[in-house]
Amino acid sequence: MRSLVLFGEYMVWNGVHFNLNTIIPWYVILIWSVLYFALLAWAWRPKEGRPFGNFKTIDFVYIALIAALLIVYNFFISPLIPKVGTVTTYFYYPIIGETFLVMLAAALVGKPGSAGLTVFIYTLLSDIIHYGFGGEPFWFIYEVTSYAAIIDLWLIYRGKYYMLPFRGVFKGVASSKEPSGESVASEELEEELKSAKALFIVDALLGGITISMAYPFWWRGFWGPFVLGISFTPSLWAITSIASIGAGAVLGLVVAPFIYYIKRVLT
Amino acid sequence: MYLLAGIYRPSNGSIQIFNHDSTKLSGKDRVKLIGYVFQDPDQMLFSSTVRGELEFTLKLASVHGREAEDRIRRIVNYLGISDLLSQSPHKLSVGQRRLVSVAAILVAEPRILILDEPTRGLDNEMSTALMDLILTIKEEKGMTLIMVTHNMRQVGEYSDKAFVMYDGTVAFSGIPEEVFEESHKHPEWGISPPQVFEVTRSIGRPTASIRRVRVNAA
Amino acid sequence: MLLSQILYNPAINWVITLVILFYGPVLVVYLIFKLIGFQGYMSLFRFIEGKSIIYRMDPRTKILLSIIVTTVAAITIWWISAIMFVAVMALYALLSNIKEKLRVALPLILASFIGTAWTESIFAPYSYLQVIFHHVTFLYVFPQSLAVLGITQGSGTFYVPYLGYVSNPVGLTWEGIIYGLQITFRAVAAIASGLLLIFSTPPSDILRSLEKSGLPIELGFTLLLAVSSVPKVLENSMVVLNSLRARGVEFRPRSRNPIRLIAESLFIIRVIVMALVSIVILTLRDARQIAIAADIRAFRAYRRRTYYRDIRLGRIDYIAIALLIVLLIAGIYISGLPGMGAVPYNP
Repeated sequence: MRSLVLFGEYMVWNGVHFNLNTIIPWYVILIWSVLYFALLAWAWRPKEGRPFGNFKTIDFVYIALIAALLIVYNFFISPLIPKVGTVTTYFYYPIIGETFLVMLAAALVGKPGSAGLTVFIYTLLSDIIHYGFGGEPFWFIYEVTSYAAIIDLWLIYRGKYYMLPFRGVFKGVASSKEPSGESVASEELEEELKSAKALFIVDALLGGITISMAYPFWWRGFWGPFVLGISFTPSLWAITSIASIGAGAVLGLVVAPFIYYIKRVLT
Repeated sequence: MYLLAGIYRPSNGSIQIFNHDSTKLSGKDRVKLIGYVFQDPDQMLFSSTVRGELEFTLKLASVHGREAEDRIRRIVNYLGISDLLSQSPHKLSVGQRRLVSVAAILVAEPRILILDEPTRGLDNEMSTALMDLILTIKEEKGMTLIMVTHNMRQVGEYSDKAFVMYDGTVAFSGIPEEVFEESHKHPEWGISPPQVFEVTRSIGRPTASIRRVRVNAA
Repeated sequence: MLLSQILYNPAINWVITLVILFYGPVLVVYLIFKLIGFQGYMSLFRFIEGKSIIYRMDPRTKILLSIIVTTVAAITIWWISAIMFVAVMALYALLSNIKEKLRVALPLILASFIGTAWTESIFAPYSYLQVIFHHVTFLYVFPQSLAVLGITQGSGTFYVPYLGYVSNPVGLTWEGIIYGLQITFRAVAAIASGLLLIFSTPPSDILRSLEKSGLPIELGFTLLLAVSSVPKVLENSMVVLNSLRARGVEFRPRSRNPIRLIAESLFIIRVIVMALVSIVILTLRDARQIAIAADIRAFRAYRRRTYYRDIRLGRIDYIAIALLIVLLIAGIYISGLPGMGAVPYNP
């Protein structure tokens, strides 16, 4: 796997063309990826020698089950229906399912890095059972940085309230009188629920737009040309990216009530 | 079971239910004949409120207006879940969800009710209460009740006729006592008679009734 | 002359177009539901003990097999993938209960062929075809308005048989069919080798070998739970759909009256959305139980854990790994030869 092969005028390695003649300049992608991986390194930092220190067992279970739902949706159900409307996101149902399930995982786990982990597990699984590892590891970087990054960033602020029309307000430190003081610290802070409908709408819009823009903006703008060596016109890139913002907003708002209902039922 | 409920079609032959060919029935007519309560209530709850769940069944059975209102009120009073009407069925406890799933089927007033392991996941007291309730409804409405169960005590207590399904065919049929008598076949079928039956047999009255004795205080 | 008038008569053109659009997917649905059924789908993921070489191999060797086959398939021309696919299918002979497995795996692979080749033959982006083949031939042209569906549209003037020169035609291309077959061969080689691993290895052994290869146990656990939950999700989907059918839902609108027909169709869409939410709830409801079960068995309690049954590389494994490395090197060499590289993948 680790060898370079000269192919035409490009260097091709594991199916990657390393074409840097892209619409989004490579350094933007580099900075964005480095920033996001730093966030993941922080979110998945070990605690007491265990990686993913913040995550509880049930978080992994939620992520695994949602990855299984994604696999079933994308590889067993989607192929049964003709893919109509690939140009815009509005009627492209594979993306609708992905939006719903990735946002659901982020909502149920509610920790930064949860969207990234879901997308990572899903990509790994789909490589194993369907696509093959050609073009890796760049597809991993593409999927993680474009589908999950903004949701994970937003989760730093929203945390467990993501996709709930509430926000937590610290009432101040609940007196930690116990002299032993073993498990005090931040969990002992009393939080009060404040209604925040506007934040709920921002949650929905942000999630929908992030996932809707992944393909037209990030893939057409950089990863597709970079890995496959093909090219797109800047006008197509710009028009589909802008169109996908609208589609993403609509999709986010449509799936939001369902995610809210499921989160309420399960927690 | 699925064949009977019209979910699958038989590969050949046909099924006659009250002189209707089940394969030719439309969905609307089928719900009025047969109700099927699934093992896990989560498998059959779809709406965001209990009322919506009952209305969903009635809509499919083409019952509208006052009639629908009346039926909903009757069934929830009957099952004692009238205070749950505006709640989400998914948020209820296991026992309550079970009652809602039974209500969602009974509201269409089917003539045959199929129950797939109706007391799975319920404690002893709860399952006795539920079975008594279902039996009362059965007697009052004159329904036929078909129940799938591994619980031999329930077979002994509640059924008029028992069928032993083994290896895809009906291995034996008869009244429950006759099934329990066939003791040499039990290891093969994987069943063991309830203790009540063993006791009555050991005191020398093998076919003594083991039916649940119900006292009507009225 | 006559043929062109028949083929491109507006009404006939629309009929042929719609048949081409829907024939492939309908055939796929038929294959999956009539020949396999959901039950068969689920048996794909059930492990049955066996005694042949393939069961005695180290799981890591089989994981490596899957990775190397998919990698080589991804970087080389389609007929190399086809050869590897045949070779992997030959290994299926070593599985126990082979008939049952082929009864499920073959229609699945066939469905994958028809589905992908059919879709790509009309939906492959023109820019891809131009890059790969440098020349695109349109076999049949659809009404121009269908370009909005994302059907292949050429830019420029093309000669179309029986019609003459057309500018910016929309339709079925010969290169699209070839392209579809190429990426299908790649996909089926990957699917077949992945299924071989799942068929011949108990899930706990896969987890152990992932952990031994240095993957954090959290990732291995999540990955394996996801794989083993796939049949559960399929089963849940089937049961939920059946319970809707038992309550009298007809998934095909029946009415002849157009207004009623639309109302019925909207109702069906609403029911399907309700069913999807139910499937998600039914699946995720188990999460707490699974988490408790994992915690009780001391998941994540110790960094290094030992196992009662250790897995070790044997002689067969070393031979197999040597062969796989030869395959990989050969694959990389071949992919560099002119005209032997792979075509890009269109998701």
